[in-house]
Amino acid sequence: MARTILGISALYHDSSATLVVDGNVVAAACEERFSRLKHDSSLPVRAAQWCLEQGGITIDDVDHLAYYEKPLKKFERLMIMQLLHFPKSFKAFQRASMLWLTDKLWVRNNLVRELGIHPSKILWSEHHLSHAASTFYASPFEEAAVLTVDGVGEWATTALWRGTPDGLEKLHEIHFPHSIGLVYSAFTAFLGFRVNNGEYKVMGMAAYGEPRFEEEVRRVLILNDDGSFSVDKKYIKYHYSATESYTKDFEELFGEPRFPGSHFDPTSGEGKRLADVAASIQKVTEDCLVGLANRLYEETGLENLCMAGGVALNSVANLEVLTRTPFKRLHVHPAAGDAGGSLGAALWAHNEVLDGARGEPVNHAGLGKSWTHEQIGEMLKDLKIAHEDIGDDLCQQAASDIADGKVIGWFQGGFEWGPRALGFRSILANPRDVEMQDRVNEKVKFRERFRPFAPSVMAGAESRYFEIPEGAEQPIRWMLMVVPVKEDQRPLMPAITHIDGTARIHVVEKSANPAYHSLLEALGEKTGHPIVLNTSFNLKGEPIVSSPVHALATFMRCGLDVLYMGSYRIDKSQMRGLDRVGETTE
Amino acid sequence: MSEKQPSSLAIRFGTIRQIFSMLGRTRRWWMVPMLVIMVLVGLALSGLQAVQYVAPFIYAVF
Amino acid sequence: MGLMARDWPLWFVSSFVWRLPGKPSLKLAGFSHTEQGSGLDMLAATEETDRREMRARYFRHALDELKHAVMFKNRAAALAPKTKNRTTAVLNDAEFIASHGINQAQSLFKQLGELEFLAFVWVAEKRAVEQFDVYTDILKKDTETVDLFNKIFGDEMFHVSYSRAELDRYAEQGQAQEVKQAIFRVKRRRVLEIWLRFSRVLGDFMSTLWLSLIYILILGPSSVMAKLTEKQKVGFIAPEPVHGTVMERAALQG
Repeated sequence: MARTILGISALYHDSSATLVVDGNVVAAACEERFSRLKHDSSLPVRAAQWCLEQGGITIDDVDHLAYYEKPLKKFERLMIMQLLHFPKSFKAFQRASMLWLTDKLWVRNNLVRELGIHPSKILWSEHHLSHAASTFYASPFEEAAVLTVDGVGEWATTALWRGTPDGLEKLHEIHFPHSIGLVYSAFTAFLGFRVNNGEYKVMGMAAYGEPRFEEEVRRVLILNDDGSFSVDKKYIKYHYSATESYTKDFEELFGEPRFPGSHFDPTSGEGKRLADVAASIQKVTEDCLVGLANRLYEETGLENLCMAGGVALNSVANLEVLTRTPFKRLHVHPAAGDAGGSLGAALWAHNEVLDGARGEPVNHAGLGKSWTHEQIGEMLKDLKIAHEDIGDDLCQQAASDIADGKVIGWFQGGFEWGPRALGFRSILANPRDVEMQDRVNEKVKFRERFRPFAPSVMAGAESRYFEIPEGAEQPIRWMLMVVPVKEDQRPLMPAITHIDGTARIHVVEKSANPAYHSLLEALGEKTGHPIVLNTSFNLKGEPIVSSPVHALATFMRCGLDVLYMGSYRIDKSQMRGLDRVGETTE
Repeated sequence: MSEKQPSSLAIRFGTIRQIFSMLGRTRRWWMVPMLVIMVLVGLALSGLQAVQYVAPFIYAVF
Repeated sequence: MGLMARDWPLWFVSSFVWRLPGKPSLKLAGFSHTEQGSGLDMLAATEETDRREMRARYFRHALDELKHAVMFKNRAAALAPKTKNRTTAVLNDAEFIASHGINQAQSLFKQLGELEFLAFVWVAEKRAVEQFDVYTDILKKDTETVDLFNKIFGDEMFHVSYSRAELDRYAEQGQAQEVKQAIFRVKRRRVLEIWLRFSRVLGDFMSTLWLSLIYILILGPSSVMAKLTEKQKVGFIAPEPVHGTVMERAALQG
């Protein structure tokens, strides 16, 4: 009889649900895609309900619910930290206690009430164990060293593992408040970006700077010879403050922090200083991860490395880890942050608690909800939006539009698992158009100018454009590694080439996304280049679109030229009935 | 057929038992008095915070 | 707007509230979130309604709300001081919508059903129009903010009129009593919610008080024990030895 496990992660950020049947992932989705609240941290009731529907089952059919961490251990850590920092922790205590005593402590009650699961069926993983399981059991590796690095789980902020057919064995961990993730977030706040949201921007900004503050960063984040690290508490506040993550001593090292939302130019003046700070923390983070990975290699001698935890989303650092360590192959899971906790918990429960046979690796990211041709057609008709059904001409027509310089919305299949758009809910454009970066930014994404866009390239063609290190096959499938653009290609693809000549690439295998692969093939036939600028299909501050209605609402509110949903083509220049209401800029 | 669900209070007591057995395992007995009071206050505050209101489409006056 | 009967009690209260330093930008930031939440509710209605003929209306309404959210957000940011301030915090608060009961696990449409949802929309939008009328009068000197409210006013009047037209259609089809009852329930709930919001504020105050007392009287002494007994671990830490079977450990929340 099939063994069914529902994995849940919630209450911190990016809550999600995953359904695993006999070790195989059947459905996975973040709650934000249903609630439309970015980084939604509430209990993923909608995502869980959908997962069950997708599996054709009810909650009574679920053998176990696997929760991604041990909430009581987390609570214990919180209390101890507040005690150790009495009386500075007063505000943090009030804020945290309110949340914990009224809600987070009673997560078992909430799961029972909201999902209808029997409490005896609930299994409790550990935070870093869920991360480790999410990457190891979803990978194609029988054996691997596993490195999990994030802000903090219960106590651990970093953990080193050995993964074998016998399961995951923890070798070492590093405890709060010594945390790469939280230090990086402190710098994110210093640079005026939102924590747990703006870390990518710091990464993008780093390429504009020089690491001239490296020595100062190493006073904050101290790298030890044995591969471990520690944080000098003189510079941080996140372990006792509700709202601030760094101290006045930190500001003395790095200067005036940037006020959120204020404009700056990373190439000159004050902006250059900020870019240098970003470059410095990026460099030290990379060195830190390389140190940890090297230690892991020394202890395990294994050739494969799996990574997870929010810091594993640092795709610039992932290249360093692969190229500066003896590891031959790297795997990073598409939902490497806390969203992946639900997947990890479910896979842990199946493989280790219930001793199940290992399932297939996760091969594609379109694990979310999809809509049928009929459902999409009916909605377009009811909303009186002019459209045409182009059937099998979908990829040819879309390729023509892209080649003609149009910016298109691409809505196909089930929405993506994880934060990256991987050709299921994407905005696509021609990367070889010199004006495209500005156009996409001004008309559609309204992002900071210094943030680059990323390319998707048809599998087999990537070496024409990029320098791909050996062993990167997995992370480049999930857009989780930044690699150098070939010198001769850089001036030809300005929209996706970052200031330092790199790009965060996505290599599209036919098995992972047939429709997208066909589009790239058609584009290659038309232009000679099966490569496209790919950015996520959403507006600033909103989650990636999930349903046709969300896609249409986004399409109507920005400067996209054409939208492809299934085989329907919606051309904005031909829209009648509904005005282009709501078109607005930030 | 679904198993009968224990009551909400029984589930809470189960969690409370686990808090204290965890403190035993980690040898943090000195935290027991503090947590007893906090858990009691937490149960009372849960009652106060259980006030749910629906506030869409409402532009707060204050 | 001046032709409408004005809500004078609201006018007096708002005259005071909107004159408080920093309050206009904070209020507009809150309105931005309200509009965003309303937009999400209208998108949900678009998807969930069985009345296919209503989808275009709900969708148009959703686009309006989402557009208003951006307009309020931009004006709030423009009015906010360029140093650390609450408005920026409110605008950046990803939890605002959820913590203010604006968007919940079940959509408003599903919670209320179509008829009561339309009654809700009609009552709420009518009230919004009345409020905006007061605000444009109070903020006469701030011409840009007045201009903003005037731009939104047209859309809100459309929302009032189509929702009312739908309720009238239900009444003409023999459901006049149900319409009346739905409007009554909505208005009653709004009054109840004033009380609930006040209780929540009071509850938050009481909670803060109790937790402050606990912090000083209980955590204070306990912190001495913590500082004596807790050893802060630095660098690599060996994993704790495991006890019991994997299933036994998996059953523990801590």
